[in-house]
Amino acid sequence: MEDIFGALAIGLSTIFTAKVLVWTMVGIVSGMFFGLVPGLSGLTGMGLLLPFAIGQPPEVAFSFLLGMYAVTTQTDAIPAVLLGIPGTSAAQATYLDGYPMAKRGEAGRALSASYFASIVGTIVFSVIFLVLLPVIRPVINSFGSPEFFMLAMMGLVMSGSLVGPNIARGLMVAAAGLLISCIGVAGATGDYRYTLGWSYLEDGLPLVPVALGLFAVPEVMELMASRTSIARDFAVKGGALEGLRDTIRHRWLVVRCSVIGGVCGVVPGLGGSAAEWLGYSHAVQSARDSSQFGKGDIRGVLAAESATTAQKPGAIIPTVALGIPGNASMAVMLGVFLIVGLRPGSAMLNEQLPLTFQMLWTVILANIVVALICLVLQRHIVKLCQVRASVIAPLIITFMAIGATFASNSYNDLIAFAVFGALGLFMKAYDWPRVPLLIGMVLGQLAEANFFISVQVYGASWLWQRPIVLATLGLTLAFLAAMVLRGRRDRAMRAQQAGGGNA
Amino acid sequence: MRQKIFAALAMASAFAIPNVAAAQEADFSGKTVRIVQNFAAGGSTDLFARTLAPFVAKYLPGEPTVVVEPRPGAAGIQAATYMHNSSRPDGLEICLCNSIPTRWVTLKDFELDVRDFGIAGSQPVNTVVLIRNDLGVEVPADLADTPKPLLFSAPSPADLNGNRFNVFAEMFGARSRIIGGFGAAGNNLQSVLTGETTITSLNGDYYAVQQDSVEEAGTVHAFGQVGIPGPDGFVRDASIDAPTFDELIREYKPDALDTPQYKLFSAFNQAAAVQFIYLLAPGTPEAYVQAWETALSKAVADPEYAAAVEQMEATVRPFSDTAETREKLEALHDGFKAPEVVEILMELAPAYFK
Repeated sequence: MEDIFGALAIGLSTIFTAKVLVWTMVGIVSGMFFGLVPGLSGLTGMGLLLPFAIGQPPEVAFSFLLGMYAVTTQTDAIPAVLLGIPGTSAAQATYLDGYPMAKRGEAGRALSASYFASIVGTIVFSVIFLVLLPVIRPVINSFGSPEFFMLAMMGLVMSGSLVGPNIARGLMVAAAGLLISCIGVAGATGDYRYTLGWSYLEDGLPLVPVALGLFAVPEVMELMASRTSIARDFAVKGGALEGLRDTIRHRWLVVRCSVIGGVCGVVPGLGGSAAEWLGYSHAVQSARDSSQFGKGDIRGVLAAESATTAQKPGAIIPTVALGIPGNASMAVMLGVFLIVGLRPGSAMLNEQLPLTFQMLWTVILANIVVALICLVLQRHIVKLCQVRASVIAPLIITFMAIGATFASNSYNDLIAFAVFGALGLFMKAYDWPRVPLLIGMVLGQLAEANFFISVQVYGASWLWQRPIVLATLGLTLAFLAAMVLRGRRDRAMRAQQAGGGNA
Repeated sequence: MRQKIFAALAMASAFAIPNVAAAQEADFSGKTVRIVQNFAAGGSTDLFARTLAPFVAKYLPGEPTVVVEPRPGAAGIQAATYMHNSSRPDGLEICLCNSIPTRWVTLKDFELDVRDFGIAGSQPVNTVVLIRNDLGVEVPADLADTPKPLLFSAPSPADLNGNRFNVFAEMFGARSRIIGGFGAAGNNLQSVLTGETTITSLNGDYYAVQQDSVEEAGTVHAFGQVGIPGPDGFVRDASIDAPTFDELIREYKPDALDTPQYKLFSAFNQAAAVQFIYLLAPGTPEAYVQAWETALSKAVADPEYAAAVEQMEATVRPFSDTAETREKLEALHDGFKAPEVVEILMELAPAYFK
């Protein structure tokens, strides 16, 4: 235990040495940029900044890249909340409630809540990190394809809470999302599905142009038609203290979502999008009154941000301890190990433990620094919501178009963006829920791939022989039952109100 | 008559233009050239391209600025299609196209002929196959009698490494099955470490860094490696403690060397030998192709590049020039398209014919 505290102290002191601190700050500033610009992400940043880590000692290389990686999910909330541009897959759930809040002049409150939730998410996960450290291998090894499948199914069931009042429409849209997730080469069989002979579709539809089209296009069109500003007639407030108060008020929600996000990070293959949607769905599911979600409920922002931020340090664990990258960015981190001449494994939890803790401290420091920077600048940043539509809308459209094509440099992304933009306009105009489509896409891929692997490897026995599968199935059924009961209760209440009104 | 002469002159001049271009010196002074790579930013292909780029810049005539541009999509085919259909033949863009030669010979509907591009060279990719210890496989013959089925985890049933292993196992009377769908980073390795599957493969460079943690797990070992192509066949990468598959066949099944299975196995190895191929737009003047070929070969031979690669605990991959690469592509094409090989391939890797 003393060794652990000693390593924690050495790790902490290392990040405050001059060279490490300077490089961490450079990483943080770069990360802010990669988060702010729609279409860029932590993964892009990792790829682009990796050459600068060559030749650096390990403590500098890791601090530099992790400083960048840690903060992209904090600053990506800014375009999502202020301008309605969910430019990364990690900002999509944040957008759902953040942007409606910005329209009400509460952008500052939403953003500061997202920063505080990020900080809590990181710190909560750091505690989990310490607890998991001795048992990390059995924890990770207890998750296989059947467990992934059941988690995806639980997420899909939980997302049932997001379908809105018209359940039939919501289910149809979610089914469409599942179908869209089937586009491309089927992992299990190698069959080409729904590609229309177009090579662009062979890898499936990329999430960023779809989300930008689906959510941002209708908003910008509405903004242009309104000829006002994003915040309309509302006074725009800084809202830093309100955000802090919201975080404290909903502290247990933030902690629970941080745990969900952290677990999604630790278990390789679940990823940031799944973490965010699982966290968000949990918030909706567990709320007594979920009627305001999607219309500007601060709990939506807190849940999404805490889950996404906790997922990031979570993904470091399997990479460092077991050499198994938890997500694509962590696969690049393996490259950093190559560059600095280290190898992941038990050495990182023994003789190199101070370096492992230094990585964790870097993520915490980066989150706090960015939160402070953003809070200081917030009063000025939120004024973007007051800029006239004629000025801001063309800028938003330009950013969206750039963001849609950043990952693949392909004009085809613009086509996908335009098609889903038109679909988003239609869905918004006719009051069809858009969120289930995206969740169907995100979780559908996860569910399908892992279902086929489970069946191929275990036949049907995985359904009753694995305790985590059974436990997740039990939870899923409990959520389902709760949803049905809540639906009945709401219907009864509406009937009672209608009856009372008639009387 | 005057019109005919004019037309003949016009045609002659049209044909003469490429020759003039071919004869001119390639000069990239003050220009920005792009290395397009065909997978996502941050992946192993991207890392490879970014490590190499500054050294290529040093040896291209005029020392231009070299930038790396990811152009992922369609399992890497998007970038090749872009280079074929949209890139200008001016030598300012080159594609480091990972796995395109394999797709060329194995995909039913692959519309491009790799030989049509301006080819500036190629480099191999080594692969290590990991097998679970509880299968009790010490020598290849053990593959035929294992207590658990041979399940190879891979991103897709069309995976090059999985199918190469299938052909190898077949030569020893064993049958392995590819379990596709392990798409996310690290899932292949995790599946074999947890025992969900029993075999998988890792890129040689990445295995170098993951070696310790894999050994610590104590559940899997490196069974074999593809190796590095040399003048006398594939040789071991010394940093990986495992024989090459070719060695294993020669030692334990020499009578298989004349079979169609071995021909197919060799064709898979040829695919690995040219896995990183450098392609310029079709019709790029020869002077530019040569300039790239020279710059790439000098960059790979640069001691500073070797030091950078060594620092990553990786091995400098040998560079094959244009002529060698074209030779290997022909061997690859002949190997995969021979009727007796196609017959085996249809049985072992039906995913290629979908």
